[in-house]
Amino acid sequence: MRKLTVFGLIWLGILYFSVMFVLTVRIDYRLTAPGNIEPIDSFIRLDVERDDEPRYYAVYVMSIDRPTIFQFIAAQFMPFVRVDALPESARGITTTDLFRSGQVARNSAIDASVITAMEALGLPIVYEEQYLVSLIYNFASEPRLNIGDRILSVNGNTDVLEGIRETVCGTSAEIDIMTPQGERRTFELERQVAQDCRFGIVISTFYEIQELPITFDVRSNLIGGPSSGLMQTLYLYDLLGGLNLSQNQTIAGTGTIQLDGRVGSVGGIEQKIYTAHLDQVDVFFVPAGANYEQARAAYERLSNPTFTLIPVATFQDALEALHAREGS
Amino acid sequence: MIWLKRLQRALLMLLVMLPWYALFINLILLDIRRVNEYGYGLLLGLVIQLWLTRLSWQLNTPKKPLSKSFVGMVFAVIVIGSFLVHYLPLILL
Repeated sequence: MRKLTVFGLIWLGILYFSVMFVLTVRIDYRLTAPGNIEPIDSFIRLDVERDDEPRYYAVYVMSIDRPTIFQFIAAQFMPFVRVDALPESARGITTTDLFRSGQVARNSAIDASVITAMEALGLPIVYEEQYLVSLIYNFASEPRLNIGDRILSVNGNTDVLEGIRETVCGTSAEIDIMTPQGERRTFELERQVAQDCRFGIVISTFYEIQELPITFDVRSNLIGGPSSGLMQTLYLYDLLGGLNLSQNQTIAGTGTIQLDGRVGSVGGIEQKIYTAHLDQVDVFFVPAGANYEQARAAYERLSNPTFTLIPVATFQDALEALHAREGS
Repeated sequence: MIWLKRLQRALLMLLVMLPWYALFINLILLDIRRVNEYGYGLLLGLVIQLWLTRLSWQLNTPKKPLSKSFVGMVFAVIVIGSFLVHYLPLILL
């Protein structure tokens, strides 16, 4: 009886650790799964009162770097879940760093949206272009740099991009930074021959708004990345202009926004199309070009989609499409 | 000492239920649209764990020497700690 108990316990232990192994051990893949739609007004609040607040939605997807074995297996049986090998550049980056990087991109996109909407409406705004460290690879030679640090100069050159370009491969650049806490520091960062002449950091443009006739509040949430730039701009433009272009329809979409109004491409298009379908939106804007081709292919795979897929190359294209719907 | 032994059993029950929690956390991250359903799954796990803990306190009194209890507790803390270190960054995000 005692032997049987010990035997049983051993098997139970093996079973337990096997289950825990499958549920916790992570492998080098990247999963992109459908997410949800998020109303823009849930994270950008303006001091503008309107009864018919426009209904614009950002669409987000779940990107899982290094999923567990269980997630990897389950993903094979789930619709619209994409499985890719983890890119070399993403190896060694922690989940926390990815989250911070996503937040830097998100905040930059919100500021770019405010500027674009204000300028499109002819309203005054003063801003300054800055450069932020948005991601640090594990091979970077300076471990004290942090995501969110603002780069003030490279080798004394305040034109940061020029300073970077002028740094010869195999040498180090003197980088002057300011931390988010306002502390100035100087680091040496090597442009490494062994890493294809890369510094090991990603730099993003950030627009610091200095003068604005309105006040707005950005609420923190878990969604990162710049892909809701277009929808944020449409929301702000509609709200500040008092236009009601959304016509009480559910307007969703994806695409980054640049200050000249161009809409940039994004990832996870297939999953976003599927999410829009599940959430029964009325309109879905997608960046023109390769993104639209992917979206079109995913759209055709859906059973009875009810929304209109509209490709847009610029913010103006999106406005014209909304005006056309308004007219019809 | 009774509380030390009860703590040991509470940890053991947490250890028993750990795969359940791990399963639902895996599912939430993969299928965020059903976060409410999976959230109920986590809650159900917590109820089962508390019930098992209470049951283990009521049933036969512990007979193991205290040293063995300590070994069990340390083992449980290591496994649970590893789990938390593995998943907390994901959950906190």
